[in-house]
Amino acid sequence: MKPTHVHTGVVLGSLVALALASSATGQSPTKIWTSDVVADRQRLMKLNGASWADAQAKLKAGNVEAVAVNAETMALIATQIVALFPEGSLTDKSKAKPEIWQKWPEFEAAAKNYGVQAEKLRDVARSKDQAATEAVAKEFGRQACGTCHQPFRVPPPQQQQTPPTR
Amino acid sequence: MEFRHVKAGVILGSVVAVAAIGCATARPTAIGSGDPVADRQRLMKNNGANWADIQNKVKAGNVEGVAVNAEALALHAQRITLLFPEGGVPGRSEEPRKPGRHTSRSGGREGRGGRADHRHHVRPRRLRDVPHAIPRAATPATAGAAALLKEAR
Repeated sequence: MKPTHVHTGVVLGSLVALALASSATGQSPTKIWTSDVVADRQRLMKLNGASWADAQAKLKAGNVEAVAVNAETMALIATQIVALFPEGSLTDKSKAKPEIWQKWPEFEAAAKNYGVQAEKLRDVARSKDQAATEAVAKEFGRQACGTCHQPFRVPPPQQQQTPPTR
Repeated sequence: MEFRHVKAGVILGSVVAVAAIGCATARPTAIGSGDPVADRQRLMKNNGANWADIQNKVKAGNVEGVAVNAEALALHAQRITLLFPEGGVPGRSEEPRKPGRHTSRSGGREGRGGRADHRHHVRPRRLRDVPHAIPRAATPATAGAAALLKEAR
C-alpha cells in the first residue's frame, strides 16, 4: 500500500469521525420539545402567563411566600426562551415580529432581563415582605414582560368596544 | 487522472460538506448556566416547590389552581434527560450515582418512552387536565385531583 493511500485513508477517516461527531452534537436546542417550535413557545408563554396570574392571586390573598414558586418557574422558563426562537420561525399562528432576528442581541438581553426580574420577584417573595413583594410585582408586567413584548411581539387585537345601546 | 481518484475526491468533498454543515448547525444548547448539576438541582427544587404548592391548593379546595403547577412539572419533565449528560460531573452531584441511568435510556434524548420519563411527563399532564375536565362548581373535582395526587406519589 502506497503512503499516499494511507494518508488519504487517515484524512478520510478523520473527516468521517468529525462529521459524525458534529452531527451527533449538533442537535438543535429545540429538540427537547416537539417538532412545532411555535406551538412549543406558545405553550411556554401560556405557562408564563398562568404563573404570573397565580402569583397575583396569591399576593391578593396575602400568601406572599407562595409567590416564590411561580417566580422561580418564570425564571426557569426565561432560560429557555431564546432557544425557542430559531431564525425565521414565523408562521401565521406566531405573534413574533421579524425584529427578533434583526435585533437578536436586544432580544437576548430582553429574555435575560425577564429572568433577572423573575428572580428578583422570587427573592423578595421568599423574604415574606408583603409590601416589598407588592412593589416588585407592581412593576413586573412593565419591566419584565413589557420589555420583550413591546418591541418583539405583535400586539393582541384590541377588543372592540361596543357602543352603548339606548 | 484515474477514476478512483475522482471517486475519492467526490467522497472527500461530500464528507467535508457534511462536517461543515454539522459544525455550522451545532449550536450549543444554550439552555441553562452551563453547569448541568446546578441546573438540574435548581429544576428539581422547583419541581418540589410546585408539588408542595399543588398539595396546599388541593387541601384548600383550590383545584383549578393546580393546573399551573402541573403544567410547570410537565414542561420541566421535558428538560430532565438533557440535564443528565453522559457520565455527569464526578464529585458534583449529590444524587446516588447510578450508572444505569445513562445506559438504560430508551432512545437517548428523544427517548421519552422510558419508564421514569413516562412517570414524570404523563402524570403531571393528567393532573393538569383534571381541573379543566370538571366544571368549576362541581365539588367532586377535589376528590378527582386528590385521587390523582395519591397516585402520583
